Amino acid sequence: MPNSALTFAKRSLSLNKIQYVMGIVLASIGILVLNFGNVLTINVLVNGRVALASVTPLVLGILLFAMPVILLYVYDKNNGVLEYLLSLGWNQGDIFKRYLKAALFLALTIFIAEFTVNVVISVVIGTQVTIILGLVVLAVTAALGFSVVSFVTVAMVAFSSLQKQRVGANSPLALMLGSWIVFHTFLLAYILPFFIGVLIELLIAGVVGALSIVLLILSSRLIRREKNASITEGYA
Amino acid sequence: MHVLELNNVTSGYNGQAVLHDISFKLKEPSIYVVLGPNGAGKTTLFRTIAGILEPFSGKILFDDQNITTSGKARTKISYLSQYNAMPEEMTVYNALKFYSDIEGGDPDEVIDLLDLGQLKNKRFSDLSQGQKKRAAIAKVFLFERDLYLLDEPTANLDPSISKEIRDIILKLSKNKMILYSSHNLYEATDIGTYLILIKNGSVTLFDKISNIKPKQYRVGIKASTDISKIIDARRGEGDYFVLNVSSPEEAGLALRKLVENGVLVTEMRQLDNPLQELFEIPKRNVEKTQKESQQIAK
Repeated sequence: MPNSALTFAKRSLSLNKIQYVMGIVLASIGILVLNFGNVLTINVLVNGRVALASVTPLVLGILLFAMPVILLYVYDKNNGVLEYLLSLGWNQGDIFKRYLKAALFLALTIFIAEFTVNVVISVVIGTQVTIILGLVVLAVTAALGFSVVSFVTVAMVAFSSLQKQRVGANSPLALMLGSWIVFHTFLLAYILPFFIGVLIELLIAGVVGALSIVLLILSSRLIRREKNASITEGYA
Repeated sequence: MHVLELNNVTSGYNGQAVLHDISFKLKEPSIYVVLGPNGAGKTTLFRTIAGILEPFSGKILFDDQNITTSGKARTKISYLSQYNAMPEEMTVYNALKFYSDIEGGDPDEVIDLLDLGQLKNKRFSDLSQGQKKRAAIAKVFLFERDLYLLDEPTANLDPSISKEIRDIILKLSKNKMILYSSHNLYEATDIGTYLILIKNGSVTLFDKISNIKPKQYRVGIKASTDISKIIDARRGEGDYFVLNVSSPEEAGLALRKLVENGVLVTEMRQLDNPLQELFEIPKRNVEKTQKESQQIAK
């Protein structure tokens, strides 16, 4: 089975450009927040809090950028593409993994952009301390971003597979689920000291990542066939 | 030689059986037409053979491998569903490339084979129904398989496009085992060698089409004069005189009699499709079969 995550990622790009643009906008806001802290104050405590708060828009940017894959999944289900892939000898696990890879590929793409732009800006306008802060925040962003994208993608493709009726709200639902998981980062930044906040966020990322692996294993075993009422009702 | 074997297969959706205790064995490369009225269970049969639906009971074996549990067995099968199953946002070439990256095969080769050169750079969603179907068929023949499942490939197409699609399938079907579903009697006789008749989820007949003889033939005759005084024909549909005979030979004898009497016969043809009478089934039998299958499904 050749790796076509790139093809799936490109296909989802062509389906929903607005989400990509919104993802880029949010990522840009995250970079601004992260680096404006550097410019506005030299207080490490304040810098740490501002830096940690920037994780929220940075991760939401990643999430928005990757979520058109959910739309692609529903689209492919409704067009019979998934059914055809099953008939080629794939199982649900293969299908779930292919869309998950595409989502992670997109997440990686925007994360690399976030990382590069941020490193360049912080090298130009930051200090040694703020550069280190920035790198720590990017590490948290990567851990949380990839784990949340994995969890939301697996949860939503499994949910979409079980749907009998064609409904169009899966992508917004995925964003709501992801945002709900990510939102704590914004609060933690104001409640906890920087490094404790970082540790807790890494812990949450680990738990969410582990959950997504468990969900992937369980869903591909439990959901063995697609549900599709349009087929069951329309054609005998 | 490849063998497809269905042993007492009951299948359906959400615990409700649509197919009831189906058994048959295909042993030779040929076109097997699965014929049945709308709602008979043809699509359910195809989806079950393709491994998309899991049967409630029974086994489907292809070359002795269980299709339901073996992904490897399914790689020998290609399935054209009533959906075109093509990424609609892509061009025809890219959509075929998308599948060739997954299953192998050369998009350029099938584009040539199905004469899709003019369409290859057009978006799939911009094509007409007939063009879409041709591209979808190209996808099925991308990679050489041992068994092709073609589910009503000419549904919703106009007669000339349907004929074109059938011709393509006939061209590509040499030495292949093809299951071809249709609810069109004329299409079945046009393309098929074998007939699998399915009604209300049960197989009611499996035979060579050439072996299926109607009990009575209705022959339409167009002639220059009133022939009802010469043979036992009555004026019927349109300009035809209708003659009821029990065999084609009897129709030949009637024609000879007309010619001997100096009648100019301008047309003579069978008015009904030989498979037409197969579509009728006693209602009582259907209800009995359905009850039994629901018990199996439970």
